[in-house]
Amino acid sequence: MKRNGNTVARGVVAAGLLLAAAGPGRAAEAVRVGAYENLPKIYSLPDGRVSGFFPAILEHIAGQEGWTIEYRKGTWKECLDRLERGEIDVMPDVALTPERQQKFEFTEETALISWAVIYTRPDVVVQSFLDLADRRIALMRGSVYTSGTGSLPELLAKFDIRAEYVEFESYRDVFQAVSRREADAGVVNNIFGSYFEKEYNVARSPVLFSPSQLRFAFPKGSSQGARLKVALDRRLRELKVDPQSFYYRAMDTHLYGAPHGETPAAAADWTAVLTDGEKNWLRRHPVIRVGIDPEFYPFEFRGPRGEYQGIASDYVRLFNERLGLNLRLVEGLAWTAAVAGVRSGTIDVLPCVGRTLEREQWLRFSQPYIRFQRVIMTRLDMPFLAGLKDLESLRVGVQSGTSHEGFLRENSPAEPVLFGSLEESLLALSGGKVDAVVANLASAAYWIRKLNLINLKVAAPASPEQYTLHFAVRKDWPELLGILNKALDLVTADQQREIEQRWVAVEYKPGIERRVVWRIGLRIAVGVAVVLLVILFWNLRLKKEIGRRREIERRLNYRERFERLVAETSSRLVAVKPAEMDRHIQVALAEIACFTGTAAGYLYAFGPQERAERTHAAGDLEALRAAEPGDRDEEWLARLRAGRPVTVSARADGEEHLVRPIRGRVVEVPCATEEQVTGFLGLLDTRPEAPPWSDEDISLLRLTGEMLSSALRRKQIEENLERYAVELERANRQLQDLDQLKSLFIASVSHELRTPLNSIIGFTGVILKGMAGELNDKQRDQLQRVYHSAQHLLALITDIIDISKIEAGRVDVYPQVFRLDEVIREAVESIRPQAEVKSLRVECGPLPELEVFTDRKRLRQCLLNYLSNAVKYTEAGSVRVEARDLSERFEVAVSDTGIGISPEEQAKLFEPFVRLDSHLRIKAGGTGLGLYLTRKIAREILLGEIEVRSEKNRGSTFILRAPRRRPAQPGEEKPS
Amino acid sequence: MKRVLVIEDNENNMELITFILETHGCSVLKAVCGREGVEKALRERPDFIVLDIQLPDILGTEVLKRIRAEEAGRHIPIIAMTSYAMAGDEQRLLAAGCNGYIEKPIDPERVIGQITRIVGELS
Repeated sequence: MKRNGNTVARGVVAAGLLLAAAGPGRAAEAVRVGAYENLPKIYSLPDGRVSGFFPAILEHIAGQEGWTIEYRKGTWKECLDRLERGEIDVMPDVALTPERQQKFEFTEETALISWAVIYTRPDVVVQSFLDLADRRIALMRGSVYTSGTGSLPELLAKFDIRAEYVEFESYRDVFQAVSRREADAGVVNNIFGSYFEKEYNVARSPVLFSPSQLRFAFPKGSSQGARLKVALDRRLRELKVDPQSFYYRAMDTHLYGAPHGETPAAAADWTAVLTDGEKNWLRRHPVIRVGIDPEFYPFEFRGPRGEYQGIASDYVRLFNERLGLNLRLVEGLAWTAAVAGVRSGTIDVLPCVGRTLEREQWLRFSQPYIRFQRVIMTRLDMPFLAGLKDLESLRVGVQSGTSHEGFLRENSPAEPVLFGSLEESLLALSGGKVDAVVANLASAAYWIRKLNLINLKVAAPASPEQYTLHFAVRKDWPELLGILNKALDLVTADQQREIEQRWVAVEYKPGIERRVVWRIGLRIAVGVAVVLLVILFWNLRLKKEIGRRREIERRLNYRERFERLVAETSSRLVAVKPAEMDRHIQVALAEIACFTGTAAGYLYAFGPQERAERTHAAGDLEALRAAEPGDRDEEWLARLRAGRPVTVSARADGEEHLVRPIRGRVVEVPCATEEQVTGFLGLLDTRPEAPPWSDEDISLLRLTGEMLSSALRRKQIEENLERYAVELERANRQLQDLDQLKSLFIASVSHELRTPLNSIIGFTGVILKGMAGELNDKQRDQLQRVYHSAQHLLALITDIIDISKIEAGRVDVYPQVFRLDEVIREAVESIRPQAEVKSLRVECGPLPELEVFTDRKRLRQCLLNYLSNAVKYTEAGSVRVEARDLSERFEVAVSDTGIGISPEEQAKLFEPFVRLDSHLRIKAGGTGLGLYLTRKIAREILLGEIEVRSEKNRGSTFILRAPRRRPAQPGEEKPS
Repeated sequence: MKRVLVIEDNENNMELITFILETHGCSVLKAVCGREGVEKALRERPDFIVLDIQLPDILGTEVLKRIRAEEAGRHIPIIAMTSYAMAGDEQRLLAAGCNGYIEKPIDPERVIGQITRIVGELS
């Protein structure tokens, strides 16, 4: 049975492979893509290949769609020109503007959001647009920031600020011009700017403008473009929905500087080493939940955007790739929560964990893959420590829940001082709150450099052995342990070294001059003595210079990273669909909590009854529940409602501080949209020695709160929109039904009304002709009235039906070829009897023998309307018809010598039921719909136009112009 | 004296057209639906037919087709009567084999004029 199952499964896999190899059943479609230089979004590698975020996305989608991508390189301007001429099929990285929408088709989905940033020479200070007056500003040719709506010149012109602009071919040239002092300032996009600002001598100003949506663009009217657009939209939508998708990975690697996905060694499939049993096991466990330590630098940690980084992250990625594992990070967990998760069964694997006796009870450990030395750190001013024994009388700090804590408890009688993070323990050591810290060498070195803790040193190894880090698997999953051990065997020594080097060789933060920074190739398991020397030496060199700047740097750095987190989160939230919003807000809260080192972040909304309800929370929810003060009291809520932030804890701390019996410290900032406070954002800090919230922290939090509440507001608006759209569609359908009903009604009424009228008119006509016997004069006169009234009613019905049919778009058009002069003569002959009654002359002017192709009957109807109006409103003189050949069109004009129409009346002439205010009006009769209908017919059936020229008491000329060959309209049947 | 078959379902119209034709010396046969019309046309072989296009049972054009399909009906002049004809109706009717058409409401002089143009003097 089991054997059979295997065979079947293998068969399915083989079939899948065959299908994949055969492709989607059509030849690969060649897609020509414009490529230009805009690192890191799109650029050429030294060997000529094209790389970057957009190519990565495009090639990923091309692989799925079976396209072959051919890049056509050029400058930005050249690429857009080619796109317009249809010489390329797709152009990536095009900002959406109304001007460009005239020229190109765009995907509906936005690939990236970007905005313009102004950089300056370091000696030029630009705080706002005003500071740009009379400056020389470098721009990139053809960019949205260079010309058109939202461009810098346009924005400055609005402020009446004059500046000199110089255009360059690329953003690199812009930066170069600023660096070389050829320009005072330059405009680049934020992505390019943050990627390259360090390479040039430029300073970032706080001026940002013109956020734009970067999309894929296609030539207008290209059928291939339309196809590519549909495919790209569909794929982008899929990619953006899944936070683990290639899209976000490409963002991390190409835009945010995460290590490139190309892990060392050629991509190879490792699944060959797995047994059938192991493969089966993997199939039964499609998702393996991973818990990590978000702050175990440099082994594993979360980057500024929450992405998984560190040595272990490379192993996890490598295994996912090579073995087809699905090791998936569980979001929003602190390390302690992750460890607890394994015990409670919500986490399956810890990728990077030290081995302790206690942990062995509920974890299985893989072979070690990271080795480090456990060391004792002290301050420079501390006496010499030989080893663990010397710690007995000292205050020893350690990160709680780590293997070091276990180690200390097993090997030293002293009670250790516990810290939430290594960072904190080292800060405490540096600040004199503890005398020593036991930690691993790599992490400690990382933090010492990162925090510039110049007064610390490595005192001694804590024990002579090396310590190791392992993958740890839940106890009941020995199969997975076997798989991971095999995978670790397959990692070569070279690969291992490359991965470690990448993460241990941390870059120095700006502020320390490069020439004094030693590139310390600090490697794990380097001897303690070497490190000791290096750190001492380094400390002496840098002590004076850094000490002064240390704290400022740290704050600046912190603020910069925080701002970046807020900006990135908000640009991510902008692109999120309403249904996904809650999840993304959750992620954002987790990121903010993680970044600020707090246990949990949450969002409250003010409800209708003056109450506040929690809508979102992330992080350590257990701690949050424990700290929850129940209903916030009136004073607390009133402050938030008034738009003021609050800090709360059980201890007094400053004037504005609220003292309430809660566990931990809370900061809450109001979220306002459009001057109304809609809720608040809060953070719960459970660290015992948490630093107080600075004004700066609070202002950044407010920014975050606003961003989150506006995202929620957008969600609400979009949900409403969706609902309205559904309602609108329903209403539309009802209208369509009604419209059909109306047409049906008109058709039946038309027949029903007409039939009795036809009888009345017919019999009256017969009697009037004397066919049924002689009539006396009175009888004849009265019967005439019946006859004319019935005729009038019939005309009215006929006009109304015509109008309704045209309005409903249900009129049948019968174009045919005929001679224009013939139709005119026909119309003139049928009006002549009426004219003769009034002794009017009806004349035809020169009539060209013109062949036309249009609806003859409708043209005749228009002419009859004109002629009968002319006869009605003329008492003496003549009516004259002329026609002209205007090559593409023809023109017929009916002039009379009648009463004429004043300009005011001309304006109303074509409205329904309007008749001229004159003594002739009563005599004239008519339905009042004639000209209204004539114009409708002329416009909508003959596809022409009518015009009137007249002067009071000088007669009128009514003109009709229409195409000689009436073009067929969409939806019309071809005349048979 | 010409023998004419009038195919018309509306009683008033039948009365009117019969009156006009009889006044002008025709002898009138009547049919009140399409099937009866086809049957009478082929059996009675009138000198001409006046055919209402909107009939309760079968379309006037269908009546035309059926009469024209038989040898007996192939050469009988047929004049169609329509209520508010559109350009398309005219073409369709002539294509279906009728010899002329008159529009309602009926004007006695125009009707007689049109009929005599097609079939010659009536009496």
